[in-house]
Amino acid sequence: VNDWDSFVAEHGVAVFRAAWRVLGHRQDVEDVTQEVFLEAFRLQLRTQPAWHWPALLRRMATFRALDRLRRRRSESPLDDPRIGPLLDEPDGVVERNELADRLRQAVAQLPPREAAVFCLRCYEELSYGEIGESLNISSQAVGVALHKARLKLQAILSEAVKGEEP
Amino acid sequence: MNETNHRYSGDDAGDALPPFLEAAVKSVREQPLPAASVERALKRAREIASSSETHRAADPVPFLSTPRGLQWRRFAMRPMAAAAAILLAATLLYLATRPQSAWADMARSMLTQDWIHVVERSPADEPLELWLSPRHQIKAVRIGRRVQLFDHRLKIAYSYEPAENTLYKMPDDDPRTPDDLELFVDAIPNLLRAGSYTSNDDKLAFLGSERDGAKVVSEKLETARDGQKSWSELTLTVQHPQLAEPVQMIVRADPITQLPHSWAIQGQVNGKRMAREVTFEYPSTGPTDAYALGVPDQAIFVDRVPADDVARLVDAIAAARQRFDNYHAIVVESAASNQWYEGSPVQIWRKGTRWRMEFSVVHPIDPSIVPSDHDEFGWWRARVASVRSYPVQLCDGDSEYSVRGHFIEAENPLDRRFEIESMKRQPIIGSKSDATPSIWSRMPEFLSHPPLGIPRTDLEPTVDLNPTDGPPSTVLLRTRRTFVTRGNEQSGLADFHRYWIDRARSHVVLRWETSGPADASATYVTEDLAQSPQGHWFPTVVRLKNAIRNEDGTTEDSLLRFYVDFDTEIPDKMFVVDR
Repeated sequence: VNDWDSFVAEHGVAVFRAAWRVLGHRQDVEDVTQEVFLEAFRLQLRTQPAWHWPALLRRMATFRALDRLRRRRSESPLDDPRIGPLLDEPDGVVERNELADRLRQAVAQLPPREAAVFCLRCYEELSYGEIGESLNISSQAVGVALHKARLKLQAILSEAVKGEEP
Repeated sequence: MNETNHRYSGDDAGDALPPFLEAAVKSVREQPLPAASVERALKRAREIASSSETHRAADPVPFLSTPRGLQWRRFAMRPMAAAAAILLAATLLYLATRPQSAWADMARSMLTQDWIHVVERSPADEPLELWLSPRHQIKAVRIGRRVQLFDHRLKIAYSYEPAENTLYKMPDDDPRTPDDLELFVDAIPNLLRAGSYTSNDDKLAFLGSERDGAKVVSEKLETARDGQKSWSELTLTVQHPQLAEPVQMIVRADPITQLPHSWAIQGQVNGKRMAREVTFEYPSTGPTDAYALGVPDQAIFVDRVPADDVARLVDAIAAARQRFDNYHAIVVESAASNQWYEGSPVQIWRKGTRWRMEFSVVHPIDPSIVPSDHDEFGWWRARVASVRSYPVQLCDGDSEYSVRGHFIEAENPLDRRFEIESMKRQPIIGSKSDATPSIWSRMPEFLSHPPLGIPRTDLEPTVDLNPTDGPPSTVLLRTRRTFVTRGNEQSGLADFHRYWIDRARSHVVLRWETSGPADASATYVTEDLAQSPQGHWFPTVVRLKNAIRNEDGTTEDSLLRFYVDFDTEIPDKMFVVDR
């Protein structure tokens, strides 16, 4: 094990998890994980101050995953294989996976800033200050964006449920 | 890996989510991670530090174009399966080192045939058909409806794209990345060159690193019966560091004519069964044009052989790049807002067709120690001499080598060093006289005379002798991307590449732009120029527009500063690889 291996071992799962929460698609998440570590490698090569890697990597993973989520949405419906065969899943898992996918599809419809704030806050549990710093906005603006995101997501998800009712 | 602690440690009460939304968030957060996928992702991440691709990808300067020839040939080149490549390498080494073997007679017999028709089958792919005529110097490939034909005598190639129903005519003047099947056949004259067999492995250099480490652990030559027919059958079992288990190859040949009949590979690779079979026939006739391979008569015909102004510009830019002086350069990249002494230095040595590139590990310095009146090149010379550097790529004129290794941290960051594990050999891209390094975007002669990506089937080049924009006194070479693919944002662009070329100054490209998604688009502007002792113009400062992407989504220009010394003595040992 060398330095880089240790670095990947230390942060890899967190990066994967952050991207997974946004995308829920294996191939895309693997690609995003690689992109994030490539950027990290590049940052290491450069003359930059020390980074707080755990938070930075999770933010990078969330941003790149959101980029990909939007791109995927514009290219094709979100019908890709996600978490494999569901037939043998225990009761309730299928429903929860469907719910998770619905939320991902709804997040893809949000404006970029609101989507980022929502994911960083609700998935990654970053503070308003950390989110504001990474998006270069005030904590107050974070709160406003989060509020808007909640309203829109609620509306989108309610609409989806209504659409499925007989 | 399943994180179940769900909490909202909100900064304000507005964090509370409506129940349905909260349940959805919870379902996302609690969804288990797919373990195999995590492993794959981490493996890819770990490989970053030891891959030359990393340096390419880590390089903030996007690459302008795929090296010529590779794109338009892509469909004929089935990806070389590692195991097959290793077996091929082992087979060829086996043949090369056994001059008295009957298998050498087999090779000689093949070369006397008018046509060789080869069919390759594997469970995962469409059959691949290959026709070769040593006599007519024609090679043709067909996979499904896709067709390519190379007329080596006329130096012309034809490529049929069924999705476009278009037959492209292209020049066939560049070396290529061959696939393993063709390597097998092409290797035969290499092994027989000059009428003598040899174990000189330089003749197998085109196999790259795949041949390193391949070892024949057992061999068996016997007579096999198949119905009424008997065959000479050679069975090789091969081991390789990249293969967990030995893999077996069986070659059958006619005992009378010595012509090969089949070549089969079987074994387990990464826990999966691998099987490939290649059969050989020797017809008296073969396809002499693309239509004989099934290209429809009504297919659209497009001639992509560069002509007139385009051809002259392409040739002139390549020539200027090839003829550039020998040099040692320190190239420093930094944000445009930074001072000249802030940045990441790269050192390059070029001597004829050989080059060497090294990265240096530097750390921020106290600006107060930088003299205000100074020799920038001298300062950077002293700077790189005082820190650790490590090679990232090297070319000895025949092959390119990329570094594999890792960093070793130290208490003092300045003592951080890079430990080289190995140098991976790979075939050079392009021809030996005009090779394109894997990382070329720091080399002054490539910044001023970049590989243009012409010809390519999907690029339509045009020349504007009087452009209305761009640097004064230049001509504009632009390429239109003609093939639109679904979901490909780069396709169908009217101005895929634009190069403003100064014909009066050794065809230096003063500005170039490439379009595409944010990561792939780039604009290079030469801000200052100088002339080499031999009279070639090269950039001393290049601005890369919006090359630095900040975390907040904003962008910034970066600058490349070139400090080039044409007088320094460059010892040949700089280009020697000690493997």
